[in-house]
Amino acid sequence: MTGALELHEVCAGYPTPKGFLSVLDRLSLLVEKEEWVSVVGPSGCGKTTLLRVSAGLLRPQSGKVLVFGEVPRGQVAYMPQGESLLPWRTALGNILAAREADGRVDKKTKREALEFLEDFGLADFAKSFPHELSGGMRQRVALLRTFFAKRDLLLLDEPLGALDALTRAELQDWLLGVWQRLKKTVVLVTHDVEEAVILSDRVVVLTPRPAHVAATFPLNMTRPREKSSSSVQALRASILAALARKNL
Amino acid sequence: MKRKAEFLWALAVVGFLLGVWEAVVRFFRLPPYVLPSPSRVFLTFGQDFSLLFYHASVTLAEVGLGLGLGAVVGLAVGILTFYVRPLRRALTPFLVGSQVIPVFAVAPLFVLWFGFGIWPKVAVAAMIVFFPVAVNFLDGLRSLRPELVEFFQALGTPERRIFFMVRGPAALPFLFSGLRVGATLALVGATVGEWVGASRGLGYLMIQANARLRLDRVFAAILVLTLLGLGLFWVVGLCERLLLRRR
Repeated sequence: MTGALELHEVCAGYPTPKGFLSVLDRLSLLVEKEEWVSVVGPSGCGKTTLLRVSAGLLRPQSGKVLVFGEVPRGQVAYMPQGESLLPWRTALGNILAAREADGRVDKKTKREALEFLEDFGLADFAKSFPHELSGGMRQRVALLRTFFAKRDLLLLDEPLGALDALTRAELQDWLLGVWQRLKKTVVLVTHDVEEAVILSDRVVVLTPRPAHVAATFPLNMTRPREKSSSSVQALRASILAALARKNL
Repeated sequence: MKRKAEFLWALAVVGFLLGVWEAVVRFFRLPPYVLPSPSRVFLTFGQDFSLLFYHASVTLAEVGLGLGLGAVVGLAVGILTFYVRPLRRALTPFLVGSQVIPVFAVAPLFVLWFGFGIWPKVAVAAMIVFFPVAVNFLDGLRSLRPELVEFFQALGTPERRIFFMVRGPAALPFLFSGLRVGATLALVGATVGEWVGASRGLGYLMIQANARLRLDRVFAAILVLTLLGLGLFWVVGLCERLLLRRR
């Protein structure tokens, strides 16, 4: 049986004027189907590069990347960091774009998109343009767009990174609800350890650049998890300790 | 309220300048073959209206065709230089060169090649228009934030569809700023083309009137040209607002 995402001794990086910058160093990672794995690491360590390699946007120097057993070629839905919605399309139009990416969409898909927005509490905003929405709403639309693409593996790059603490907590609950209903494989990059602990099945800690996996924390706890609960706080502490160790 | 005030101010400025002009002509008793008074120009504008209208329609047709042709070529060059990077550097001297050459220098050549009809003027107008369109559209394509495209690239969307869904729409405002610049310059280009060799058009009318010292008619033609330029600018702006009203 193959996993949803397999990285085998992947080395990757970017050419710069000062020479090749190595970002991932023999990084190996296995993500099972329908698993939620969160990736944390010191800033600039290569979390985004890990996603770009998995999405097939960046070819690794060496090693192997497999998405459902194949070389990545459009099998993943990737949500880039920052504002990635098309500003000239409404929320509904942006959601639909996820299917238009694969070809023409019919009336049925449009109805489906509208129901999708309704199901996850965005019906009132279907006709709003991104600039008319709050930051939290925009990220909800962008997340739903990623879920609406007909893909089983989702790669989310700091989807809640730019939000204030309150909105962030609200969106974490909301995102968990969406995921529990749609059951897709998720790889989430975040710098918020607490977020990683309350959402995922497993937390992967990366070393500073060039990155490989420093530690893995399986979380066998039922959801939803309380941030204030002792088990969450204990895990948070040990993950932060792992991060700090690698920072030295 | 604010727009109305701005309009009244503009009107007042124009009225004042025309008043000064009229006063100078009357005070110094300038003959109309040296400088016609604005009242005389307006009179001629009324008397020659059908003549001016006819020649203006020819010029407008040349500019319209030139604008269309220039926009199509400009778009093609913009897209080509975006996707074929080595071509960008190779073409730059030619692109810039085509703008450095004075219109007066090439207009006679175009007349030689394309005859005395409207085509040499269309060619001149197109040559002027294509540059701002190409450069602006290329800038628009290049300034796109990569996040907008990466979502689709990861989904394996073919580049052709990404162009029509993302890149093209994102670059449209840039295209329009190129067109706006081009539209007014194209009018100059077409008129110059008519000066060099034509039997119709506002430029031709001005040359003829000038030779007969009918400066009132020259000024009336300039008035029409100004109106055409404003009209074109407004039409391009209108198209832009209609197309981009949702942003």
